[in-house]
Amino acid sequence: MLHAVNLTKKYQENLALDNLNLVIEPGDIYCLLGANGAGKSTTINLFLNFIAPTSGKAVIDQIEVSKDPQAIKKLIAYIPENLVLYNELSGLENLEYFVGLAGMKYQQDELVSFLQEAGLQSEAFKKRVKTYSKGMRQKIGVAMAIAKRAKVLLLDEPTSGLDPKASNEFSELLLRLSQQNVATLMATHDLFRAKETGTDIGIMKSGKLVEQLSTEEINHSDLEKLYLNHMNN
Amino acid sequence: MVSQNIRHEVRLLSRNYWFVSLSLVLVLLCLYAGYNGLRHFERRQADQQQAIAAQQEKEDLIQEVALNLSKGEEHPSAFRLSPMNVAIYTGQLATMPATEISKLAIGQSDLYTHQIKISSSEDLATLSFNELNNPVQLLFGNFDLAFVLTYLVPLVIIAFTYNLRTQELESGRLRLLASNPINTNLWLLQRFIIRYCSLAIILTFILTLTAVMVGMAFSLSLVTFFLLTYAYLAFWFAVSYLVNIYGYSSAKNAVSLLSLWILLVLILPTVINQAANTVYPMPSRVTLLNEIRQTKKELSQEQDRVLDEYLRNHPELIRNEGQNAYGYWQGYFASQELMEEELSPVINRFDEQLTKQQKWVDSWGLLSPAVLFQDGATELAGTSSKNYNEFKANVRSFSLDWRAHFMPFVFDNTMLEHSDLEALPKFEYRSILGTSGVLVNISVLLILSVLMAIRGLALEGKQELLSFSRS
Repeated sequence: MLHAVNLTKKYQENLALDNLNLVIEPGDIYCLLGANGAGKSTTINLFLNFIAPTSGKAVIDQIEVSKDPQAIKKLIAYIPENLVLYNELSGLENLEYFVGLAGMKYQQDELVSFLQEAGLQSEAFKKRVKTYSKGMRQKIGVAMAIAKRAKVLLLDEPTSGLDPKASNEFSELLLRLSQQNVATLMATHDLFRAKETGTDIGIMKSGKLVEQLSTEEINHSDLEKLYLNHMNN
Repeated sequence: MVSQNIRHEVRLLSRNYWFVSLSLVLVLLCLYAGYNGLRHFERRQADQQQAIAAQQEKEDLIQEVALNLSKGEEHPSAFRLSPMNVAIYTGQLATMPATEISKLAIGQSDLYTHQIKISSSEDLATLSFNELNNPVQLLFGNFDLAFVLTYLVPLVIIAFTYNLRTQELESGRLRLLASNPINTNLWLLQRFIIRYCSLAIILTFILTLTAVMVGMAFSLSLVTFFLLTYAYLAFWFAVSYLVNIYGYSSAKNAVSLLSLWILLVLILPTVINQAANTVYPMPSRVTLLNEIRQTKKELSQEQDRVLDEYLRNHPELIRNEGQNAYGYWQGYFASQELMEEELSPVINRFDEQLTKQQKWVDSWGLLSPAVLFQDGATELAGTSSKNYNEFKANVRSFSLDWRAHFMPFVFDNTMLEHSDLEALPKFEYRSILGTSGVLVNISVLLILSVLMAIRGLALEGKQELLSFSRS
């Protein structure tokens, strides 16, 4: 579903991403780990076509991202670290607007069901978003992905700053989407959540993917040791 | 996307207390400006009515005298029917009636006079129009509706749109928006158009309310005024749209837009006016007055020679009684015409420079939307410099007719009779200025707006790449 083929991004002399190759199949949750500036967000931005690759290509569902970004954006849902919504609108209104931009039209009860599916409490639906916690906002993001019937989920540190309960709820939502064959690429610093939620883990350092492994191959403490080992070398 | 955006913008604007409050302030400002315009209109009307009444009184008096004399009765004021008295004392009143739209755009009507006593004792060079000056000097002076629209509405537009894109960019929401299959510049343009329509609706309501308040009737001029306003709004929305596309920070956008406002609304009109003065300087008025006085003095000293010369040029006025039959007034009238001939090069120089200045302002005014709007509005209102030049030309032309009408009476030395009074020339202000100039201004504003919108749309992709890579 997601393919990075020799994907490289340079900012003048700074190599932000160096020859990245990865494959993410439907139902996979691929967690990219790495320090700040390792190239995780750059990878996601390349798949979103927010930036153009210097060389190589990002492919989603056999479509090269830079060649047909509009087609790609119909397939993907994106949840950043801070999901900034329109504060003066309610969660329901925000969902209606963003889903509408994606070209989807739903009745009010259908939108409500997406919010329910994303785990948002029903009393919050019509409250203005400025009263929402970060966890509640992230659930709106998940509801958008559900409503959009996204095949690919691109997450840029989505659980950063969430309390453990909210973080756990978010992981459960990802797993549920994974069961619906959604391919997920998630940049995160949270080793524990990556191991618990992900199917695959990639460790990045200085723009390079230095390690790839399945979460089934490794336990929590070995993952931490491996990560620190890469960071310290 | 359009229906989504309309619903979205309506929700955002209706919950934006800043927008609602500023709209209310705009309503109050417009109503106050409308009230000012109405007061000015009424004052002008009252002045004109007063002058017309005074003139009517004089005309009634000579009518009464003429009627009495025609019945063979005597009248103590019989002298009033002398041609000199009617030509000079009674004279004619030239008035420039105020239009309904002048309630909305006072323009230069507070600088010029709208009623002029036409008398054969006045020489044409010194007829007081206050025109021997830069035609657009003090162009923006009154707190009327045109002032509110020219100066304040662009600021309101800037306040509501300066950060429409950069706010999304700075908050990170643009990334979320752009992850959807939309053309972000088109999405932004739609938001601008929706806000434009919102403000246009509000202003239509305000203008209609003001028009009703000041007692204006629905007219083609009023509709054209509305169209001009919409075109001017479109220009400022388009400028803000383009600045938003190029800008990466709300603060920089605000500074850029305010700088453009200062440049286009304040500096450019002033520079155009000053440049008109520099390129086509007006001859000194003091020199003109000195030349007039000097010529008058010389001609009055040589009254007899002047009269001889005049009669050589106008043999049809020579009477059989011989030269001794001609008195002071014949000499005076003759010297007046000769004086005008002698002064015509100086006066023409003023007129030529004034015309050139006006052409200059018309041409370079295209650079400033404020000049385009203000010129269009005052032209519709009949308060532009073009209207006053036209009025002035009407008055000058009529003055010549007026004097020429009395020449045979003066040289025949005959009194006017009742039937002669009926045949006196009547002044009527005829304007041949249409709305074509205003339609040109509207077209220029709209073309500029569309070009800016197209430019913004053409930057899709390139600008997105830059903006996101910087975020």
